[in-house]
Amino acid sequence: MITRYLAFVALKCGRAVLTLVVIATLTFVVLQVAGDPATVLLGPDATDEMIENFSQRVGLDRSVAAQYALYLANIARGEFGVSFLHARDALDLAIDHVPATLLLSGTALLLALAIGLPLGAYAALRHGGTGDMIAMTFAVLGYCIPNFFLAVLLMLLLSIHWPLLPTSGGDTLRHLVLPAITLGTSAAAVIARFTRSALLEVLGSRYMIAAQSRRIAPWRLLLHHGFPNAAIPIVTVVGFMVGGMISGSIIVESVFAWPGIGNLLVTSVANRDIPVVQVIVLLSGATMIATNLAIDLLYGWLDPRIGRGRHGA
Amino acid sequence: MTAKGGRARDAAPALPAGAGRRRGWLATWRPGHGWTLVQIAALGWLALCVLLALFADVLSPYGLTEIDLRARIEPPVFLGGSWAHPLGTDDLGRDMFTRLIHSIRISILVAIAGTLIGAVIGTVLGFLAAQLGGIVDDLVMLLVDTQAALPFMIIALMLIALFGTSLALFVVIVGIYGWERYARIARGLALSARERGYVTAARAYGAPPAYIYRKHILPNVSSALIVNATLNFPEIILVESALSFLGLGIQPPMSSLGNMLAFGREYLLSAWWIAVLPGLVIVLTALAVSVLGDRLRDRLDSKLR
Repeated sequence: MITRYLAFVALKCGRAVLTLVVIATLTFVVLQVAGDPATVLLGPDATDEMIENFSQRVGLDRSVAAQYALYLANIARGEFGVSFLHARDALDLAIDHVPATLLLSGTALLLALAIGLPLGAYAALRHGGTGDMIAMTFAVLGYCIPNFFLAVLLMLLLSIHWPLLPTSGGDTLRHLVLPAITLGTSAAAVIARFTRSALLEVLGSRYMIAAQSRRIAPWRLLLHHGFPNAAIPIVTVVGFMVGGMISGSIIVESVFAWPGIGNLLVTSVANRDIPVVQVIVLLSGATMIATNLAIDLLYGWLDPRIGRGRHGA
Repeated sequence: MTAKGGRARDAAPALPAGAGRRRGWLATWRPGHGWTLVQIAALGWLALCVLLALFADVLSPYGLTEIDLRARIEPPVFLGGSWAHPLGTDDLGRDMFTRLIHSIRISILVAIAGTLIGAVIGTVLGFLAAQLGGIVDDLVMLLVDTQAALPFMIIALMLIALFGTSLALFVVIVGIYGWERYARIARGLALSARERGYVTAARAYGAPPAYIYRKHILPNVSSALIVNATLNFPEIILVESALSFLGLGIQPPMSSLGNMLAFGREYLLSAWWIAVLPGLVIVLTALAVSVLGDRLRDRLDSKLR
């Protein structure tokens, strides 16, 4: 049983590493297609000396296979080149922007859970009623209003109509409020929908009806029987949000000029600062893969049936 | 998945009547032919958008780039503006109504082209994986898994950074969005269809694989693919407007809903409608497509079963 679980873990880890290598391979292929690597990666102002150094480092005079091997090796060593916009190591630059993104995404996720879970549970309990309809209207709207429009609406209301909050920057915690609400609202809508449908499935099951007939208090029923059994789809969607936080916060960070990694990505793309773009692509891939891995392992704990039988494979 | 499905089926008899339906009274009220009020409104809105897009050149009262500096930032009619510019004007005195219908046209065209590209790429790869099996199958599924692990925005931004923002390339990039879901569906359905009698029969009288896929398998799996396309379409509209909003998609002087909204941000203080009108159009369109998609899904799904 233990060895089975270890085999499950090893399989998942192996797949994660493989996916990361595939992503790195794809970026290598795209870079090869994009044109002369020296111009692409060093920018328009590169001197002959820089180009010479660069050719040495990535092995431009060697075969494509050797360049590919060297590319992977450089990535493994954490050498991604230098941002020509900021004249700094691209990886260091990206890592400097991580805390701001973590702060924003973390706050938004907490907000989303605080709204989404109770709302979804309420809708499931009032299934078919007016409360359900209102909750689900909110969920559909949250899904259909894009982040960038919600951001503009919030700015109009809370910064311009009632001048309460700043619209851009990241100096104080007050700057955090609007981007966190924007990011949290759509996430709350998604969580509410998943919670509702997961709970509805659980609420109709026989053990819930049995528990109801034993006159267990509704909140206790929900907490001890409902949520644990509805956990897997909810954990999946929340995990997806955590894994996708870099891409998820691109627009919001850019609109509110929040100094995070998504904002860095947009300015780097606009200025064709390829080394930084490449680092962020790999970082966001790694974040997603690491979260997926964590979620997979968490499943084994949430539902002991997974990882024991065929489901693990 | 199997365990979950099994549990749901066991529980089915215990479900209260009407469980599994998720409709309020507004959505279940049916004036006729099984269409709800919300669905009719959605259909009407989409029809309006398509008409505006089709006849944009005839309907627009002004030229797309016609500048009237004497009439800058005029409010729309409902905010005390004049009928000369029913939805007001922007910072250069360009007519908002004209710009809006041209934006709708661009956004719809990009979304249609994008949906088709994704559907074709995904379906062909899925069929190839199912037919050839072996290493091709492994390779396609590896790409599918990788795509699922790497958020689309990131890929799109990387391609834009490397290859620039030409319109044709942008459409292709937007088209890539969601290909992996078509591939997964097409592969799964083709694998199960291959075991069916009609395919065995076609194979027995010597039909070549490409013919079997085109004439027998594709028509039989198309409803699942169409359902996926209705999910895909509003997402592509949102992706396109998000990229255009960031200034990395449709470039001026062409206007899309996303870049109109972005330019409107500059004038939030004095003329909020410049940003809000295109935003409303995006929301209404995404809503309408998902409402109609729900209906289509219900109808096609019942046929699938």
